[in-house]
Amino acid sequence: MLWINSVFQSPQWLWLFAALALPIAIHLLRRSNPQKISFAALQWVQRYSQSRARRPIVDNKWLLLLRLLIVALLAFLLAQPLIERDIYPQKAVILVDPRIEAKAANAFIHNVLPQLASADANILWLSPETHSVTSPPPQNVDLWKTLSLLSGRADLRRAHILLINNTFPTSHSALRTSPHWQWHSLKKPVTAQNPVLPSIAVMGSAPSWWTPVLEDWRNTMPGLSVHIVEQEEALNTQQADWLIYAGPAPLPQAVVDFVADGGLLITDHSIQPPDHLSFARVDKSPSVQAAPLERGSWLRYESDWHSAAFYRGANLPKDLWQQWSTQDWPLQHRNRGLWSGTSAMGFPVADSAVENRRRQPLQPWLITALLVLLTLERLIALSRSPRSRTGEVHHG
Amino acid sequence: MEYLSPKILASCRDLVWLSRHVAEGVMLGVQHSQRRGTGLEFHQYRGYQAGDSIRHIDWKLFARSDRYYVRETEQESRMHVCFVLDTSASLRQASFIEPSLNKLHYAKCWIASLCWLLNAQGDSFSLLALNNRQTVYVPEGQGESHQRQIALQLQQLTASNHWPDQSQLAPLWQYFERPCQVVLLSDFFEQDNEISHFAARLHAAGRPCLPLQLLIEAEQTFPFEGELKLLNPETNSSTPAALEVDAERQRQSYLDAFARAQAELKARFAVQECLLQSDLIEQPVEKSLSQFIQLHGRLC
Repeated sequence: MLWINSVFQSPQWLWLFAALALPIAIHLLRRSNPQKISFAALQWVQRYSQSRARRPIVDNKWLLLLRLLIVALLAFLLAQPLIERDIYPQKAVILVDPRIEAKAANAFIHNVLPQLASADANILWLSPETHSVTSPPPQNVDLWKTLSLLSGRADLRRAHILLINNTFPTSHSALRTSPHWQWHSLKKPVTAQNPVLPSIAVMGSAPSWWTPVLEDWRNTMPGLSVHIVEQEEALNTQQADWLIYAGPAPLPQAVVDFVADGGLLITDHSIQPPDHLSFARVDKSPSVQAAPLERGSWLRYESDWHSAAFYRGANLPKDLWQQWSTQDWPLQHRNRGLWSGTSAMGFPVADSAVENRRRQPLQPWLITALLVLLTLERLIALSRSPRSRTGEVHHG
Repeated sequence: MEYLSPKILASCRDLVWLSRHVAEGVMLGVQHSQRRGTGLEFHQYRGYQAGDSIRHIDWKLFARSDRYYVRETEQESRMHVCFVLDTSASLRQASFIEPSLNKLHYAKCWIASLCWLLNAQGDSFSLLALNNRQTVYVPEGQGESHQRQIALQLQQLTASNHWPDQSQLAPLWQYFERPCQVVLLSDFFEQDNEISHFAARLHAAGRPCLPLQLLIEAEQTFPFEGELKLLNPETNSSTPAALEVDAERQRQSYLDAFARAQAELKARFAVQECLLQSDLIEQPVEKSLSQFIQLHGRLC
């Protein structure tokens, strides 16, 4: 029944379709009692239609059809159907950093992007609600989260992003963007700085996918440091930011101390957490959960990361980097302000992953259709009723 | 000339008043070459009866005898008109335009009006209303009282059953032994041409028969729509009591069959040199009467 919920906003009204039986029943009942008329010249009326089988099943088929349509439309209207419609951006869109004043943004667009200004582009605030710049600017907008959120919106796929400067005030590689976005900055661009990369430690026998993943990371992020840590070796957050623990349960005390000191611990399902820890799902993924442990975090995969189901997939390096980096809050803090708008950043959201169809309510159309049908039905019914009152005789 | 509307005709139950009104209307439109009046030659005195005009009271005789006597004069009756009215159930058929008016009521008014006209010109008239259950006969007579008597009898008539068969008609032939002009009113909805045979037999006996067919408009146009159950007011072995029809589908075949039957009926009367007049009861009685009088000049 889930599809019904996706097609109708109020599917409980669908029971009203049972009311379709009412007009049918009324027409059938009326049919069973044809009007009786005394007519002396009956001998010249042919008898061939005396058989009831030759009679139509119901009288006034068009009227019945109209009435059925009206009931069906009413049921539809109350059930509030939704239709999927393609979303094609009709006009160019410019998303403006809320820290920029509207006047300055308009002046910049007129001067630097005259083609957009002449095309009457939609100028919106870069915020989750994307209000027009004619409204007051939104406060306290987390730009990277907002951009990540908007990257999935089909109507903003080809937007122009106008930032106050070319460096992002926050973020990490967890940022998601649209590959079609065109970036602009109000101030002159500064030289991009390399982001701070985490140092990674591996304890225990690393899973088989680790080596290719690391190789992929090193290709895209040269200088990424990884070192192997012995099982009993003490580890502090100066030496490593992330610890991949692939050893036996329970967790060694040194690992617990590392997390408590602010490190990020990554394990699979073989390590059972203590009861007092409350894990939460990460990134809407059913198999990843995370929990804060004093100053640090514990990212735990609920599946076996040695299994093929875990590591099969072309996006494994990107997914893992995103999942891990979003949990490393200290690293994100250190990287604040160091990400450049001029360099490729974040993970582009593929066009195929964007929902380019949006569900729209049909109420206005249904109400119009209902009114038209009601008028038509009344016209037909009233044009017929005087005849029925005077014995179905047309004097004209 | 303003005609009586079908609605007034249907709602008025005083046939005497109605017939006088209609007849006066008809007389306005008819130019008589020769008005016939009451005769001058004294015939007899008779006691005054309710309904007699006080103009006919002999006041000298009243002064002598202290009783009202009406002076009857010998009239030179030139014609005896016998009205034969079919009172079978089909005459109950009401108009669909004015449902309170039926064929019988129209026929009553028509006969009463013509009686008034005939009385005005001194002719005598009789009435034979018949169906297979009841025969009403008012013998030949003349004068206002006779006219009122016919009006009273007409008023009491009801339509039921069907046209009498041969055996039931046999005793009625005696009423036509004296020369008379027969005016036959019916819808002529017959099964085995029984009414036509009746007219033919009268014609053969030297009693010319002037037919008036009464129809309603719906019988000529079949204006029904949709699914209907038609009830036959006059049932017999060959016609069903009721028929469920799809009016639109039946219309053309009905109209064709009805037109054929009408043509045959007219042809039968044409052979007897009696032109059939078919009138719709929705049309004014005055008009029908005028046409009838013009068609059959020997009447008035």
